[in-house]
Amino acid sequence: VPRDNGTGAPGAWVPGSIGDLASRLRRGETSPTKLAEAAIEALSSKGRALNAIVTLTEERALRQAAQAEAELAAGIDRGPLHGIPWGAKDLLATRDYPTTWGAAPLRNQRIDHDATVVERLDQAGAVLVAKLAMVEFAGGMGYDELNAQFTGPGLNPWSRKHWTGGSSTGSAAAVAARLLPFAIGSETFGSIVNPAAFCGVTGLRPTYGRISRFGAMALSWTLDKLGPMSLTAGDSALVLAAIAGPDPRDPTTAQRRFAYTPANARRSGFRLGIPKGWDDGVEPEVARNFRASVKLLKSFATVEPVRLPDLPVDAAVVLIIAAEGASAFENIIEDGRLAELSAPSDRVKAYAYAVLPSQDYLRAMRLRRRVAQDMSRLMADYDALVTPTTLGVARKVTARLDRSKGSPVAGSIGAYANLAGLPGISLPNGFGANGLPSGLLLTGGAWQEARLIALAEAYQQRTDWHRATPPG
Amino acid sequence: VAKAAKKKAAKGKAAQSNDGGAEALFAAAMARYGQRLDPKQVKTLRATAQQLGNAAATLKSFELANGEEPVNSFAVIDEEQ
Repeated sequence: VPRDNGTGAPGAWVPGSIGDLASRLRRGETSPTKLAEAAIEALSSKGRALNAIVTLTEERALRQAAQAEAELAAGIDRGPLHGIPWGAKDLLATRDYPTTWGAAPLRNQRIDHDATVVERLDQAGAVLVAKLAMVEFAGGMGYDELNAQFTGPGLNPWSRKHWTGGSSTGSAAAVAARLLPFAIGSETFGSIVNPAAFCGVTGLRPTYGRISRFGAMALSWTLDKLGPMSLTAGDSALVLAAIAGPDPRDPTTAQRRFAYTPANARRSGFRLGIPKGWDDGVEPEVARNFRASVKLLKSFATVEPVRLPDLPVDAAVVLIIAAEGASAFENIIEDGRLAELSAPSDRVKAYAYAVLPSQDYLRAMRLRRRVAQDMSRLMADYDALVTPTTLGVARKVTARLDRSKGSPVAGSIGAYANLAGLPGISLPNGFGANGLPSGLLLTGGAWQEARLIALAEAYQQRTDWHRATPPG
Repeated sequence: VAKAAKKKAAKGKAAQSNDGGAEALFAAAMARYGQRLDPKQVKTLRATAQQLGNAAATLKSFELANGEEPVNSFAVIDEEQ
């Protein structure tokens, strides 16, 4: 007999958006405990089958759910995330469970505090139910093989022969498979938006400095960002509102608050730019979906071609991640624990990163100022730049990443945006080869997440791609 | 001998300028970690050094002015503030 699915009726656990669940909770149609139990059951079966789970935080979840239940019954309402289950990419520290960073040699690592993001979601009344799988060290060791996490390769809910994208593998899979309404991922260079696109969910990369990184694994101090992965742009705003803001424990956080009110949000009149050469190297189906998205965007926005600055951004991002990653993981490189990593390439590449001349790193960081200035000037004229999120749909899990090819425009936008610390949001926009999802990437100016979310909501109000549910 | 060493150094410098320092990077990594690696891994290391060298060469071809500072500028920390 199927257990109660938390929504008041037996059957499969299929959570709706955060807003849907919050309404059901307040109507008394379900409870935080029912939601937590149903999520844990779904994660322990389907989630594990997708290699999306590192640790189920059942005891903590049931304790938090009971507290949320008591508070809501007493009329204490912490807001839309109160009683909502969520999952953390396993690079966020939690003092009562291991934090593995996706790496076999750290499978028993204990950290004696909670990350700021975890604390803030606790304060919002959200219920942490799982630590989610990720590529070892968030890909910082340069993996070529897609089986680069000790829990097994991230399997795409749309086709288990295909990869989820990385490095936020479990976060993307769990949300896409409707096992969780939202999860937190992280992005140094593509690790939120790419898996979001491959798995057909909404992924928000915030402006650098918007969200505290305290208690999150450091790969690249100057590039790392945390952000929500969810079903809709509106949900990403709810999560961002809970976790954004200054934190004295992360000196890079800005003294800025994030607020988004859907009722007051602009729904038309956006000005968008499409980088010239956007289709270079893009798979035909992904290009087709992008053209259809642009056609739709033109119904409520002006769209014009733009030229990206001509700067060697791909080279800069490679050198910065290599140098900062080698420093962040110096102890693991030096003491030989690299040999215990899952991906054969991860056992070797960081030895080259560790001897990179400081001059090469500094040159990249000097160029970066130019990138940030040029992008700031460009973004002053646009609400967003629009591109496909990825060149193609998800690859087979047995494939290898080919880093030898140069990055075409649709790939380089990620380098420009991450080097400049700009926000981006990836939205499902159709299906390509093998019935796998594709993504539409909106890249905004610094601190313009509210504008991006308004634009993304306007798009999602006119489409159903974000409602598509994977088989099984 | 000194002449040969000078010639070798000049050759090395030329190689470095062409390959972005990939050979030097590979040699440094081998000197420090080579004993941990099997032949297949050495091949991966060489390819990685080449990739980093290519990236470095690309950046070196881009001129930066003397006053263009890195983005991670130092800031004084004042605990009393």
